[in-house]
Parts: sequence; C-alpha cells; structure tokens
Amino acid sequence: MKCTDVYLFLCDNLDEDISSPRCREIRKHLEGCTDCSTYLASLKKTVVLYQTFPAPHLSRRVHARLVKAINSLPRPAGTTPRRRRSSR
Amino acid sequence: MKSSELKALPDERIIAAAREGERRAFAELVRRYEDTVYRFAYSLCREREKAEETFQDTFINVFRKLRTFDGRSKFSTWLYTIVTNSCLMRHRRRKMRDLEESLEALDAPAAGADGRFVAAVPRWEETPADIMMDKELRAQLDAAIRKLPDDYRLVFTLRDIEGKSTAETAAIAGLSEEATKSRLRRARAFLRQQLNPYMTAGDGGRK
Repeated sequence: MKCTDVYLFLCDNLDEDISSPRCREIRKHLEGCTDCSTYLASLKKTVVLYQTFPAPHLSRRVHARLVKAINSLPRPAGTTPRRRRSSR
Repeated sequence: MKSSELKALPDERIIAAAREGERRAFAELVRRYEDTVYRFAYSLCREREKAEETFQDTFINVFRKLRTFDGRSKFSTWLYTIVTNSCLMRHRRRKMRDLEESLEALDAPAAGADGRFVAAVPRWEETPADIMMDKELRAQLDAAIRKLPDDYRLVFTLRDIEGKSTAETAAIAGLSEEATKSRLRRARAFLRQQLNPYMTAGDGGRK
C-alpha cells in the first residue's frame, strides 16, 4: 500500500465507514505513516471548517420582497383554486 | 384552508394544494424551504446580493413551474436543482477550463518511486473549528472556495455542506456519479491545499 493509493482513497471515502479488507489495509498504513494520517486530519478539518462556516440569515426584508413579488404574479397557467373548480 | 392547518400537513399535500393554485399553500412551502434555499444559494454564490436574487428567482420559478413537478424526485431535489440553475447555469463552465488541469493534477501528488510523498505533509493547528472561525479565517475559506470552478463548488457544497448523497448530488448537478465523485475528491484536495499555508504554523501562515 503506497501513500499515493491512500491519498486517492481518503479523498474518495472521507465520510464513509471503512470496514472492508481494503479499508483495513488503509487503516494499517495510516497507523504507520505520519504523512498520510496528517493529511487525513487536515482533509477532514477542511470539510469541518466549511460545515461550520456561518451563513448569513435570511432577512425579513428579503422575505417580504419575495412575498410581494409572488402576490403580484398572475396564477400560473393551468391552475385553478379548488373552490372555484368545484363550483363548475 | 387556514395557515395553522397547512402547517400540520406533509409536504405532498402542501405541494398538491399549491399546484392547484392555493396561495396559502405556496406561502407554507416558502416558509418551510426559504432558509434552506437562501443558505444553499449563499453557499454557491458567495455573495449576499447574488444569493438574495437567486432566492427570489428560485421561488418565482417554483411558483410558475410547480405544475411541472411530477413527484418522481424529492421536492427538495427539484428545489436544489432550480437554485443551481438560477445561480450557476448562466456562467457555468466559465472558470472550468482555467482550473481543470490544475485540479486534475491533484489526483497525482508528487511521490517517489516507492509511492511515498516527496514533501512531508505539515501538521495543521489543533484548535477547534468553532474557536478558530474568526474573520480572517472566514476570509481565507471564502477566497479558497470562490476559486473552485462552479461544478466543483456545487458538488462540494451539496455533498459536504448540505449532506446530500452522491446519487442526489449527481442528479442535481446533472453529472454522472463517477464525475460527481471525482469532482468531490478534487474539490476537497484543492480546498485543503489552498488553506494549507494559512493553517500551518510558521512559514508565513497563521500567527
């Protein structure tokens, strides 16, 4: 098992439960290879950092603008409110 | 139907009512999905103003096209696809060619004949992410992900931030599962590479 094999495997399977024979090989390699275990830690951290990146909240202004825009739109073609259809 | 009654209904019933032109049902759909749509739009666009425009375009498109939603895919998958189209399609592949080659090179890092890396992999600081998420780090993260070509940023966002499966990500992005996997692999490696100087102690990185 080479570092380059482990590198591609880690990038593909970062978030998966590894229990296959190949994964056991990878784990064994990781235990003895500082470079690969350090790489794996930094790769995982990269993902965690983006997962915890604070996204801005939707403002009331943007919500209100959408509501106003939707209310100004004509009913889409082919749609009929149930009440009106049942009266036909 | 009253708003309080609508809130108790499952998505399928709300969608069916909205398809029939019930505006209150559509408002309930907006209530349920607006935060998801805005967060995803921001993750893709990386600009507040553009995310706000995408947010508005998305729901207007949903309003107009809801009758074409056939229910074969999940509603959220359809919604993510509309956000993606609103945000990216107009300039999709704009940056692809520029970076494609350098991203492909990430599949084969410099290694010796024995398969070991030529350069030692530097260790990142161990500080928890929530403590480190200061303004400077956010700027670094933002700058790195903005450099990714659209398709790569889309796949990374859907898989690693939104937690979608490979199959759902592929469906939303309009890619094969193999292409989705390779883009995710390269996107992760690219972002890690971009952050590496900053995250590594010393040598001009973080203080």
